[in-house]
Amino acid sequence: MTMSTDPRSFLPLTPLVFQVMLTLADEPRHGYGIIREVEERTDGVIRLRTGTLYALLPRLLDQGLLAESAERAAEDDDERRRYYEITTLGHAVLKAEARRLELALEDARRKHVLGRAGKA
Amino acid sequence: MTTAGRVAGWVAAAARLICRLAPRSLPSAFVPEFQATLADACEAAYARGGWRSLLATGVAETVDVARQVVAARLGVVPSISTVRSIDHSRISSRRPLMITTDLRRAWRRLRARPSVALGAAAMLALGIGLTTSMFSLADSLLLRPVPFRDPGTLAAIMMFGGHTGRGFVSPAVLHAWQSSSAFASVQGASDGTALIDTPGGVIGRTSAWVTPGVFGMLGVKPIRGRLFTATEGRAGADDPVLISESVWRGAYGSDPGILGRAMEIDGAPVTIIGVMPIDFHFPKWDTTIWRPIDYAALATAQAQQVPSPYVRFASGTPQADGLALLTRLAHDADPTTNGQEAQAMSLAGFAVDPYYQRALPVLGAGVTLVFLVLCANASSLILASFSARRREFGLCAALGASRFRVLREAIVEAFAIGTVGSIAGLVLAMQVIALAQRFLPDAFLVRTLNPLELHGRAVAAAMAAGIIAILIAGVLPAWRATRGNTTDSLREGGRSGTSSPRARRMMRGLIAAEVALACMLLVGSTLLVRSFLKLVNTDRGLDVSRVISTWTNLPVARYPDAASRIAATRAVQDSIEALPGVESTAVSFGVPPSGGNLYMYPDWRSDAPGAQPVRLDVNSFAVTPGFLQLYGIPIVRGRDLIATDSADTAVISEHLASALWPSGDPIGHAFLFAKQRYHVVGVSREVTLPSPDARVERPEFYTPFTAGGSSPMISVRCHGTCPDPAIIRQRILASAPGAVVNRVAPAETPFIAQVAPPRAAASLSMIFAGVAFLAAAGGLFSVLTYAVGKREREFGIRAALGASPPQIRAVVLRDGLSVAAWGVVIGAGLSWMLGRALGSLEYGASIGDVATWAPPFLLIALASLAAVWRPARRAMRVDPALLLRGE
Repeated sequence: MTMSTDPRSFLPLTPLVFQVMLTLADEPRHGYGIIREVEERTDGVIRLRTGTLYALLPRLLDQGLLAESAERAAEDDDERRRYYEITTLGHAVLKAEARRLELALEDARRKHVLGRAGKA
Repeated sequence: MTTAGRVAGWVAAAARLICRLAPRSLPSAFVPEFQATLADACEAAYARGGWRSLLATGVAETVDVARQVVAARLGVVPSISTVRSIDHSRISSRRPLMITTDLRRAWRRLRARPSVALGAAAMLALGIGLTTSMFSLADSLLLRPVPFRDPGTLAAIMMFGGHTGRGFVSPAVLHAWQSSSAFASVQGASDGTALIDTPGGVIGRTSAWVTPGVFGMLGVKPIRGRLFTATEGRAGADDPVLISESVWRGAYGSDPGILGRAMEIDGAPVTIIGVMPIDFHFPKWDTTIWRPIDYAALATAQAQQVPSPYVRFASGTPQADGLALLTRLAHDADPTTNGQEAQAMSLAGFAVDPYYQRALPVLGAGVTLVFLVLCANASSLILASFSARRREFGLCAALGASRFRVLREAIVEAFAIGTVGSIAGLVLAMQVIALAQRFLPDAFLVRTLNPLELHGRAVAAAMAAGIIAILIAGVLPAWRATRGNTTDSLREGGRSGTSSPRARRMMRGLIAAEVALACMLLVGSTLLVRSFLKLVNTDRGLDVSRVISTWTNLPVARYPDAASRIAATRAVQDSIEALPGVESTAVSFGVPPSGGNLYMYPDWRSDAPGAQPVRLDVNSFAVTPGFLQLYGIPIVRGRDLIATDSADTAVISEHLASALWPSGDPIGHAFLFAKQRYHVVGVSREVTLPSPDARVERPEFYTPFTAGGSSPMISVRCHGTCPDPAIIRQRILASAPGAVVNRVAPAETPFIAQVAPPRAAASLSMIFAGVAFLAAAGGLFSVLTYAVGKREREFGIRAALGASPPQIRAVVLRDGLSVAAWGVVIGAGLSWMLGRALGSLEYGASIGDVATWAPPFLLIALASLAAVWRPARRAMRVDPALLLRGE
């Protein structure tokens, strides 16, 4: 599999991939941890299904954006669970995507898409 | 394991199965973890919202997994980036399957020119819809045996006596049969109606009293609850009831707590103990309520019930032996059955009507022909459209596309059209069946206990045939365009201005075949319609409008002697005559057209010197004076019967008179049959029951009614509107308590029933012929229009060389009409053969009559001319200058 090291070559990320990587930005989590965090953070607007998540995870690992983590929660007794963390490249891609979204948001503000006050 | 864990296990098992089908969707290393996560999600859902939430999550997760698997199967890799052009990974990943590209292209092409595709799909849909629904209906109504376990050993028993057959026996006979160990099972049932009090209001349903073992005999099980126990049905026991799934769903909204629920039937409280499957029908096609009965100890509410017996013969016992035993046991148990014999009937009622038996293959062949016409039409449309693209196919081949690639595109496109047509056809067939379920007259439904439903094999066969026809039509042009030298096909399909001769020949052949088949169907339909009209319009020799006939049974137990029966009959007559609108009444045994005694006696002999015995089947009626007048049967010679006539006085019908006295006057003479001598006092007009079956036609003779019979039939003539049959039934029961009213119905009913099958056959054949005719005319028109379009250049050159517009028009007319003429010639031959096959369904019309074949052929000729005219005019208007400038 060809690996790209230029973070911008991954942009723009799909909303689901962005959410998964964002979830792992602060701490490693297992599969269901990712699903729950995404759902809670987006107030249920984005509901990640198991099948979709496990179709994405191998791809993100392949691309070097995520890696398996050695850390585990102390109370977790299910051996089958794996924990994932974001790689340096993954972090760079996430940052680039966030920056891209920020620029897009600024453009929208400039054009008063969000209202004249612009601060709301 | 928790409940949620178990559901997660199921979802994971399903997921594993799907993963095995498409390993690429989930690498095996991830499977255990995937399952753990799935279990977590399910448990969380259960904790959040219980079962409902768990179920919703289970379904959503399964659908999601399936989506991923399908995507993986199609070679779609989940994307990280939303813009594909910069997703580097895609370059090296597997290409999407070619089939999706083909489908996309096919869709684009079909959308660009939808008329041909839609037309072909519509033809196919119509063909598949008509064929499968007709075959399914015929299968349910006529062909399939009753839908119970081992139907061969099941029978309804009728007791046939000298005069009539009865579908019921006395409780004593039933008991004697049930006590015998020679039968696997003997059960009784009586049908009726029930008013049930449901949450949505009072509704009327057909109900049945059944002996508890009936369900075990038929081999059916309830979908909920239980069946009756052996002791249920005894008077005084709690009244349990079984309802049909249709009542449970319809009237009780699928109430899960239905078992043990109380309901009211005819005002009496009962308890629901079980729900029978929706497709279980017994003893009638619309029975939906079953209550247990013990005929040996009838409760007050059941006093009127007499059992119709049903037997399952022991396997290995010849049916004839079983019937002989039934007869003997009946004679021992009930002396009134002496002289009667047990006979086995189909559980679905009387055997299939002979008319249907003969009409069915003909109609089956008819609908198959329609299917062929529609398939030919769809094929010719596709052939025309694909032939026009020969150049495109040739171009693809010339540019280096492999032959397989070009063919595959054509196949995908034709297959897509075929699939759309098939699905639409399936929907149409389902609609036709739904309509039949709602609107098919009871006369048809009483003949079946089978559910009316689509026949899977018919659907599969019709769909396969349709898709194959479309495929052949679609693939042939592509096949030929890519064969051999591609430059040829480029030249041929492009500048030469005409389509290839072979494609043209094939299209013309298809259209000629369509015209021929349409001809045949039109002729057949005209024959059946004419026969039906003759049947309806034939003089029946009597006037049954405003006449109601009734048939009552006076049980011997209640009316033991002639005096009591005479009194009861008189009382009934008086009470009916007192009803407003009633003009007169008459008592008889037997009512026209064929309700009397049937004598199939070989030895009729007149008293003319040297007269030879005549073999005749004759209907006899025992009638009171005024009967003939009531029925409007005129006396042709002599006089009507009068009150003082002795029992050996007779009025005979015209046919019987001419058979016994070919050249003389029968009045004052006598005839002999069955060792009895009858004196003829009058000759009546022949009563006919019009039918294509000559055996139904029998002469009549009328003798005085000897009062005191146990089965009086009272006929009622009214001034204007007749009283409601229900009121007449009420009057009979009020004046003769304990009487069993077998029938109260307009006297016209048997005549209507007699013409119902020919009417059904005639209307069906008309629909078939109409569809085939329109399809053939439409096919001729579209193919000629297309051909003229292709030959515009040729016509332009002809015009430039000096051909006048009428000459050009003549070329097209000749072209189109010759195809139609071939069709008509072949069609005439086929029609003649069809006419021979229809012989047994004809009545007063035959293939030799001008009125049978002239209208269809005239219609075809006019339609062909109309179909050819517009394309011909278009050819005439081709402007050579414009056309040549365009080159």
